[in-house]
Amino acid sequence: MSREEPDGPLSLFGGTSPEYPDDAVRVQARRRTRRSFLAGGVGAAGLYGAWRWILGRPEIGQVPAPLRHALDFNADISHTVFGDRGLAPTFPLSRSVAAVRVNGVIGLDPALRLDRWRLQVKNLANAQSSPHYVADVNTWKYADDPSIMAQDDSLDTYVEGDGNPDRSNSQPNGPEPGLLLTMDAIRALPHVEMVTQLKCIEGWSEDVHWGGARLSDFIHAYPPACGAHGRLPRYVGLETPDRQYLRRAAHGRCHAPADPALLRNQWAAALHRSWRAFAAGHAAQVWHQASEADRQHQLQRHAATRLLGGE
Amino acid sequence: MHAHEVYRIGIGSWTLFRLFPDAFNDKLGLTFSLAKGLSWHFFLMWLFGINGLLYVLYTFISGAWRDLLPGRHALRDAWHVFLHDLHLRREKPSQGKYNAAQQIAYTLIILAGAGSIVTGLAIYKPTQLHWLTTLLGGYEFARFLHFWLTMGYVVFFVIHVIQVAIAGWNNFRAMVAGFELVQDVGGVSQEQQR
Repeated sequence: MSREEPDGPLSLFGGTSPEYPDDAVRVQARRRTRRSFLAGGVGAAGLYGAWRWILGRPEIGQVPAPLRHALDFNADISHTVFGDRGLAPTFPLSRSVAAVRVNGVIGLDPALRLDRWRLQVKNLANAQSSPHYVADVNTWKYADDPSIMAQDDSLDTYVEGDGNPDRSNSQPNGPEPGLLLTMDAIRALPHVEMVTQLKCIEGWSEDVHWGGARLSDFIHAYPPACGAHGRLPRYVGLETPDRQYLRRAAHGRCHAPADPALLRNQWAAALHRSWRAFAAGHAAQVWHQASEADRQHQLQRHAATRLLGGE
Repeated sequence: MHAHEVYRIGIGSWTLFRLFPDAFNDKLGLTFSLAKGLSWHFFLMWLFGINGLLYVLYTFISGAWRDLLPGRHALRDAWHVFLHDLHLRREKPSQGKYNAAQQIAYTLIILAGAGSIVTGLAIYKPTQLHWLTTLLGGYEFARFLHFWLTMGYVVFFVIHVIQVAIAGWNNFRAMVAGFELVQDVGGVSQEQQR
């Protein structure tokens, strides 16, 4: 589609060249053409090489370092631009879905025995003064309950081997002082409900009715230890007991007590998979209306998590 | 169903094509790598945006936008170009540097690029920018638009390459090297800067 085609038959990249009498021009044209195509080829190869180079860099948190630095750069901009002002919109109860989608079972541990379940919390301020204090949170090992697993077909497919989770991949070194909280300690926190949208970049979203303890209330009740220079940790990490699923959220955002919707949403995002049952149907109804047996079952499935101090 | 199964082209339960072929993902090191794929997005968005911005600025400063913006009769002329290219119409509408179909395509692709940035932001920060996400019809529709804009680039790319192949070497060289050889009225060839 050039504006003036030289006369002569068209062909695919074949050099349609009619006779150009001016040899000097042709020589010059050839030289410039060669140079341009060479530069273009080197440029294209360079782009592909850069792509492969980035993929070959050491990974930070399962992402190649250059991409990780880009993410951190974006996060700094986002913090500056939005701060804590961006609140997730909340919706009327009627908009929430009846049955929340199950997107996967990674980190969804087989049924737990609630009476033996503990929330491991590390890197807290004044942990020693708490009645839940232990010198090493790793002394607690959670146990699954074969009787409950037998009732739930969906759990069977997930359990492999003897049903004990593999925690060898991230066994910490040395004792880690902290708290081992019971479910009653979580229930003692204020109960909050709201409907926010859960968004999954894999291609779906749902309006979910959440109910339970809010992360901000939790952090308020169990404040983290300050690091060097008296700064609060940058992130809060959440991990399922089998350590198969880990989320982290910027601590400052979780901490701001004035932003319930935002906090709720952060909490929701953080627990998207690992606390599936928290969103299972109308979670609040589960908490309030379900029979004791059902309630135990639900609680066992959504209560399983560890709380880790941030970086 | 794996989560990436939603990325397909088809109607109802009938599927024509799944995105993307494994060989494509393998070559780019993206096979089943959600986190990596996302971080590529949040890295390359800068190059995408800055490149687009520089291009638009350049066309305005250089005055090249005059050749690129469609004129009043662009739609009719583009239709005639379309018929001409399919050999259904003998005469080609008069044109400047670009024909009307090119003008429309090259302008739409800029708007599409801006659309990708906007829909991308809407699904990147749907909490902080929820007003934008809502404006675009909600999270899922914004994502739908984002996806189909990308499919539009693929179509643009394919048609573009076919047209370049048809237009011939002189045109292709002009695209890469920035000049083309034209024949003088007097029969003497000359080099002409684009």
